[in-house]
Amino acid sequence: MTKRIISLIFVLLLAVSVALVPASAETTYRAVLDDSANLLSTEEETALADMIAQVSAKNKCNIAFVTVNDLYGANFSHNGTTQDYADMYYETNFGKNTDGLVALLVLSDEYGKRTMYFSTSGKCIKRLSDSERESILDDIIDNHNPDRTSYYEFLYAAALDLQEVLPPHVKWYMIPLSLLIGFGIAMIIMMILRGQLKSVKMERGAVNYVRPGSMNVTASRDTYLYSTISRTARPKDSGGSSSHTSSGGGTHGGGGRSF
Amino acid sequence: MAVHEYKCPCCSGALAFDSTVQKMKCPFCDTEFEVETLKAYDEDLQNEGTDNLDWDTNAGTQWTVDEATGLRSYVCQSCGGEIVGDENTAATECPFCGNHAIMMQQFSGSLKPDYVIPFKLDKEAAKAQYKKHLMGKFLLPKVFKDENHIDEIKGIYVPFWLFDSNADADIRFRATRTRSWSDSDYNYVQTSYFSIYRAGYIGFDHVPVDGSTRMADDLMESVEPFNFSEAVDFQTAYLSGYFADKYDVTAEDSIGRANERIKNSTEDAFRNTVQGYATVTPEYSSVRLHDGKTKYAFYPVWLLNTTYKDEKFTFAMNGQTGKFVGNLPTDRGKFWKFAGLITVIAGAVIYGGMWLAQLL
Repeated sequence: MTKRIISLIFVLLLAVSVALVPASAETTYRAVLDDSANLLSTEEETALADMIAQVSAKNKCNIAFVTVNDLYGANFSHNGTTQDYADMYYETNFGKNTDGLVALLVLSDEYGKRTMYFSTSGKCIKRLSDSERESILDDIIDNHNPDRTSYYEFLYAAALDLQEVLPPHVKWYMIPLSLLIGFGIAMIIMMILRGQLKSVKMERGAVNYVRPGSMNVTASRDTYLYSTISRTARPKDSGGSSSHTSSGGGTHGGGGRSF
Repeated sequence: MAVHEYKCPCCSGALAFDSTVQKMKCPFCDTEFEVETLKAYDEDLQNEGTDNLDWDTNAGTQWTVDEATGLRSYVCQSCGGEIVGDENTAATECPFCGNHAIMMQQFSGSLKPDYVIPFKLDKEAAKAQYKKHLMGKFLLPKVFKDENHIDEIKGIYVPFWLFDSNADADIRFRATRTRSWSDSDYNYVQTSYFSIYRAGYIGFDHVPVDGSTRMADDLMESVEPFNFSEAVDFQTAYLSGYFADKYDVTAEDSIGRANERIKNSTEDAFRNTVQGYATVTPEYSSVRLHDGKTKYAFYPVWLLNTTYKDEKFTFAMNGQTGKFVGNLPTDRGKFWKFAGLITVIAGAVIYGGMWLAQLL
């Protein structure tokens, strides 16, 4: 029995490790810094480009940090929104549905507002969940607002935050949670096995002794009385990543905030 | 015309007619009702009666002198249990407590059963069924299985009171139907309430109630059902080689259990005619029994005793159908060992799955 279980675990581990071997080991990933809005000095550009290159290489994904004055004059077609601009920028530079993300800073978006937007693609959709993206936006807008510091610090902080979030990660409290669910499963199985040992119980009724054909329903009425309607708010945050399709047809996650 | 007051089916408040909506409206909970609805509902309420669960209990007959002479009764000096055998059946051990100190007496008293279902399965069949009963039970201690010595096997005719009756029933249920939909912000659930009324009758034949306190009631109900069509008129000859337990619970005292079972089954049967609802809860039920007849019968049961770790385990087999029952001990060590193992494996698989979702 024990031997069988050990071999079972072995097979499981083997299956998992085979699944983990990257299928596209040959793919190369690129990091791009495109400061079209001219917000950074030459030294700042070098430093930020280095940082982005590191994040890209470590996490095996394409990364573009882009600053633009507005959404006009792009060398690719898009439907005029910040979201689609970022999505199409990614697709034009790195291809559809590859792994990576674009961090786009627009000084004047379609509503004339300054906006920071993240567009994710491929595995990065899952790696940067909606709630993680929102907390990065919280951090850089509240703590590194370019009005108080500089655009360099703002973008550098964004790159640092991404570096923290992008590696594959599962929160620590998932370990006890997994074990708790496992314990629940174990108890269900053990209770079923234990149920095999119990065969003595009182009968509920006398269904075995009903005289065949003796039942007759003489009156039967179903009367509608009243009805009530209750409503509950739909849960907003599912903890995962929402996604959409760009005008170019690729699947993207992402979101942004004006400030 | 008398003024009739309707009660709100929703909150039991007094209803008043609301002229603006031309409906009856509850001033307490604001629910509105059609007048026709309330009339029908009120009619159902008027039909309420009480349960009538009376019985005619002239079961059993007196033994003739000839029959009684051939019988012996054995009284256990330890537990007070009394069993009956014919003069050729010798008891050496009390089947209830396993004690050897039993005394033989001339049989006397008690009633003669109206019917008996003779034993169809022998001692070997009981042993075979016991072995089968221990198979495929993962948490059964290995020691219990390996040393499955049976202390005692006895074929015993167990006294049962049999109840025949017709039941008239008036039952009202509260049922609901739900419909749900949602828009972008909310999920909506509409619950519609219905009052369901059912009336009718149903018949029961030979509902058995164990007439011996020494036979555990749950054990005896677990070896059910017995097939009464194979019952024959009682003859003392059927006792040869077997024992019979004397009843010590009278028919009158057994009625309570018979009524409970008949009432439950009557309600279940009528409840099954209520279909197409999400929930059905009985709100009121009146079950009236009539033409109740009671009979006294001996039903065949093989009783097996074994001891494990100073605890007594009793098994019973239906001597007619071979249905074998009896609770078995749990191997606690094995229970927790495997519970822990499954917890760790399932936990690891779930946690691994979370990582896999991140990596792929």
